[in-house]
Amino acid sequence: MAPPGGYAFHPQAYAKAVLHLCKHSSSSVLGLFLGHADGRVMKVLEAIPLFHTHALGPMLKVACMLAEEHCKSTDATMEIVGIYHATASGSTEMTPVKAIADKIAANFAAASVWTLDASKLPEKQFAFKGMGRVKDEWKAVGGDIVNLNSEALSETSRLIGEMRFLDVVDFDDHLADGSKSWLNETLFTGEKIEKMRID
Amino acid sequence: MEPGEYDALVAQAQTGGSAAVELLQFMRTHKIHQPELVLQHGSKLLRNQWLGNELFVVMEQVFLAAAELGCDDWRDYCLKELTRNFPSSLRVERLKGIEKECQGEWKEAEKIYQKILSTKPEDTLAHKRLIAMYKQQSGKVPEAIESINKYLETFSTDSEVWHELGELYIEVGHLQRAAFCFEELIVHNPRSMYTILTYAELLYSTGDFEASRKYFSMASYLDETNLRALWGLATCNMALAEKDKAREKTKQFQELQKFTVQRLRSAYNRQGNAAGKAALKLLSTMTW
Repeated sequence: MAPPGGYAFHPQAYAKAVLHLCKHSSSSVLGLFLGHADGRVMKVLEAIPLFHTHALGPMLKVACMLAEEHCKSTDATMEIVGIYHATASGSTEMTPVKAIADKIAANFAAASVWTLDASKLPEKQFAFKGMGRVKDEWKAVGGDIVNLNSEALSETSRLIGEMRFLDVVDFDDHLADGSKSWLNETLFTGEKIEKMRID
Repeated sequence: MEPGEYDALVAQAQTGGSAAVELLQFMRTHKIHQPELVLQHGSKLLRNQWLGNELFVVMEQVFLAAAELGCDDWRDYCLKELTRNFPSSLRVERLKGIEKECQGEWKEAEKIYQKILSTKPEDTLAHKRLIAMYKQQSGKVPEAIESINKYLETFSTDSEVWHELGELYIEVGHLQRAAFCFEELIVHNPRSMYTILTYAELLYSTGDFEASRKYFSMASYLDETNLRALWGLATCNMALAEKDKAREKTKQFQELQKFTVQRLRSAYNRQGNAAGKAALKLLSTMTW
């Protein structure tokens, strides 16, 4: 069931997801959103970049288990609340990740799926098309119930302009080189967005 | 390619000049796909540097990057220069096709590629452009799959295209067929870690945990520090333990899981970052 108070995005969660999608603009990309329901509002607090190749069972499972472990150790109320993705062709359909989305929804009833709509990026608008779980079906999320301030949007756009997306590490990168952290702790160090808070 | 070699070249290339030329060469030989960097350095080189023998290859490289990123000025400039210097080259003809693709003139692009094929039917790159065209147009995956299958009837040893087909099957959820493609790839190159690991992941996803475990084991044998292989092995063990508790509780399988977890733990013990810590915590719950 969709949250009556809408969705609120943490600026860093949004920026990290968008940067990840920008880094691999010619591949299928997948990541997780972590957060929790806060009263009537679904808060998306963190993005975990996962794959820029195929997303298959075993590694997806490991990634989700690790993300849950990370939730437990940072904020016990946080869990996997959704996924974000994009395809190389730029289509805004959720079909390619439906199976994964269903799985997430089986564990978290109010799960949502966010597909990149790249045409919104140059206009500094919220660049995801959302689908929320309503009674076992996926229904489009209206743009009016998504909350992210314009400052976060313009900061994200500035970071893209500076090609900061090259620094994003996802789980695929981590599996190839264990010293790279998929939590991207230092991605926004020293940036204005580091101090921004969720509304 | 040595680990870290590419990152070092990227850092060096900031100084411009020959370091940037070297980076672009490296990206070509190792087929590294990062068009932003190509455009950033290549455009500077084309503007300020005497490139000698490198001139036209860099120009082609910048053209491809610009075409992909939608940087129309550089795309048109490079293609104009290349056409002027090589008026009758098929290689440049193909680039013209790519330009048409960028402009969304699919019919025109197809005409160019068909023309190339009529003079040179063995031009595999033109064939591949036709396949790529279907892939780009959303909703045309079935056509792409069909044209790849047709291509493979003639060029059945082209492993890159088997790979492409495998990935497309994964995209549309035909995992059994995808697994078949990766079997072809294993026959072609039995020691490729990437192929073995993807095949193992596909076997797992189709529910064949037993076979999947064998391939993950082989991958861990070939490269004992490979994280993907070790995590795969651990998840297979867990899935099998779930399925048949009695058998997996035997000493042999317990040993295998212990061994896998131990390997992973020692890999993560060296990492101080938060991702490493999460991994260590998870690993402490994974033996039985």
